[in-house]
Amino acid sequence: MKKHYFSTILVLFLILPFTIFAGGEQEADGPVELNWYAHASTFNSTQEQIIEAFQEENPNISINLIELPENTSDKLQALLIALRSGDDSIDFFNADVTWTPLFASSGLIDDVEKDFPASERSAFLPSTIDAASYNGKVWGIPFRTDAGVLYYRKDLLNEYNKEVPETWEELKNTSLEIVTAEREAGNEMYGMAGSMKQYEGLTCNAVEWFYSNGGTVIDDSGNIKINTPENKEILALIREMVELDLYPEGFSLTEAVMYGHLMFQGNQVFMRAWPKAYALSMNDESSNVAGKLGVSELPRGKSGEMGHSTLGGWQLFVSKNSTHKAEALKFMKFYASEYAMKLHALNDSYLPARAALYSDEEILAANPFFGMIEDILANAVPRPKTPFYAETSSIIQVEVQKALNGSKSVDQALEDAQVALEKVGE
Amino acid sequence: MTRKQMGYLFITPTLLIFALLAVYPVLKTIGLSFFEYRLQFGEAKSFIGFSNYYKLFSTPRFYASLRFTILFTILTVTTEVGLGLLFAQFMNMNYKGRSFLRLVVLIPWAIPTIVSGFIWRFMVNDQYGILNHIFESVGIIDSFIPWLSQPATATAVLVTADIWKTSPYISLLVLAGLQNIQRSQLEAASIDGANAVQRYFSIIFPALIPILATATLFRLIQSFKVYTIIVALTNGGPANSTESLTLYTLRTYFDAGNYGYGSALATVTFSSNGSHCTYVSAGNSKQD
Repeated sequence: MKKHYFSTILVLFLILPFTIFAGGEQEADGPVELNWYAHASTFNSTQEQIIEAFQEENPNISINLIELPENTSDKLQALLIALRSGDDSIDFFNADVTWTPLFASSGLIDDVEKDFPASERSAFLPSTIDAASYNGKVWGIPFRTDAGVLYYRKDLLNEYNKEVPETWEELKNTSLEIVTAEREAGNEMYGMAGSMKQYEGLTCNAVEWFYSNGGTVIDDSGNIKINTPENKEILALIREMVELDLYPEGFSLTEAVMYGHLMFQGNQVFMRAWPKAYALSMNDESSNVAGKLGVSELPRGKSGEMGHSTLGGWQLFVSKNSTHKAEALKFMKFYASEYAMKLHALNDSYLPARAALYSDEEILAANPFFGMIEDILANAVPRPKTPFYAETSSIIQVEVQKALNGSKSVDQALEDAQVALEKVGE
Repeated sequence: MTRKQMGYLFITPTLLIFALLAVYPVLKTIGLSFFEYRLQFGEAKSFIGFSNYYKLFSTPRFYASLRFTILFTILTVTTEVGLGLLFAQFMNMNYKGRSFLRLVVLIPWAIPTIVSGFIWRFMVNDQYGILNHIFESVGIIDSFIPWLSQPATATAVLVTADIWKTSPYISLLVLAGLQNIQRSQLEAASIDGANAVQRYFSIIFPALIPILATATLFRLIQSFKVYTIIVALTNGGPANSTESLTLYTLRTYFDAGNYGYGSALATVTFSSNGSHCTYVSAGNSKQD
């Protein structure tokens, strides 16, 4: 009896791969199954709703949603390992705006020039198309954009009779005055916070400082221009603010989540964050400042003309190894349709990549500050566009942190960053 | 078939698996380290001889991570072996609640590294960390310290977290050694008039040396390739000051997609670990 079991199992093992294989073959003319590597589902399950709507229209295509890790660089690692091994089970995937040069030059994805023609692109915000382009071709279909904004405590600014700061200098003075007075009164209070831990968030913040003071990191013709008077001036100002204790002591550890704590507890005047923090601040359970936060454009530096926000956001790439590209593109376009972006905007306060949605009344009613975001996005700057982005970003993070924690002078740090950046890719 | 041939036959499957899963990847990595091979250039590889090694030995970041790794290894391994010896003595003594103590001591070791890393990160937090509260209330510090924001304190926290987690492991190994020592030998020594200190250094400690050598070897290797606790606590920050060789290698290889240079880094880490092994196991076999 025992022997029979064993041989049955053995036979099953031998046959199973063939049946699976045969099933795969058949699917070519029958229903197509696509694997989409995406963000983890939000609590509203927006992604699932969109998939359902798509499958109703296209009963021949079914979409498997596979969740990528939470952290952006872990997402990249997971995708790269799978794609480089030639794995054809990934059909299309969510990609950060900074990944375009990397994936385009590595040959792991196909461009979408033909399937996403200029006539369709014109409905998207130009900055999102720009972020999806590299070497004269468009590689991704954008579905979500993002930009940093300045949050401020309306009640505190009123109490101290202050305007919303338009320059970094004003921001420093205003926060110094409020913080000093509040601390004298025995209250815990900080002036400003942003993402300043050694991670991608710091690069976003630093790029904003530089551009808002008329500086840059890599100029339009591809030259490294980080060691400039404009960048030195603004970085020195941020360091001064650190020395004045306007930033929380543990500033070099603050990730988006952590500095939100102080702001939401009511112990901070200003904060640089992404728009999604607004939805969090309105949640009474986790926030003491619901309704007290104002949202504004980021301030400009002394030598700058206007505040610039770093452009964030996500797009869809189609894998070179996918065996169902036509079907994949069909869903990708559906996911970047007005219907899908609007659903995400209403459910998750994601910023749509399509310009028309910023005047959609339903969306504006749910997210009142979206009207202002359109201007901010029009002036948003992309992070340095290079296939060696990870190295570039890591150099910016390390040198800026050294300048801020005082282990190097501002001049020295930017000089070292310049030298190191020029060597990237060698 | 002789007995010896039979032996070889039996270990063949193991050797094959070992060759496939351990030897092949190592050789492949060493091979790749002589190529310029980057994600950004697709699958194109070009042979560049020792250029990656030349670049490696002229990169300050390599020396910084090597220095941190060596410092971390020395501090953790010496303290852990010392504490392990001490704990094992306590665990070996005869008193009520001994088995409870043996169990409790093992808790830190049983917690996954990533979890204990997050526990420590909460405890040393600059706003609400319990460590700051305790230190402030007993008057060691005046105001809360952002432990992980400065290179020196961040290193101290990392070392402490690793010691906390791994000393129990050493103490367990030492305890096993202690229990192998013949009671009669110790009794004979005390009849001959040896005091506790003499008994310890003439009988107990020498008997423990082979075990200590093995434990030290394990810890040296583990400590030298430290990764998880750093990722959980500092992620190499502030400004790369707590970046270990493994973290640098993984970042180069996976984040930057620089496979050639990353392989050179991995090869250097591997060979320095290999040299510890040879050194310690040579010392160990001398003992036998």
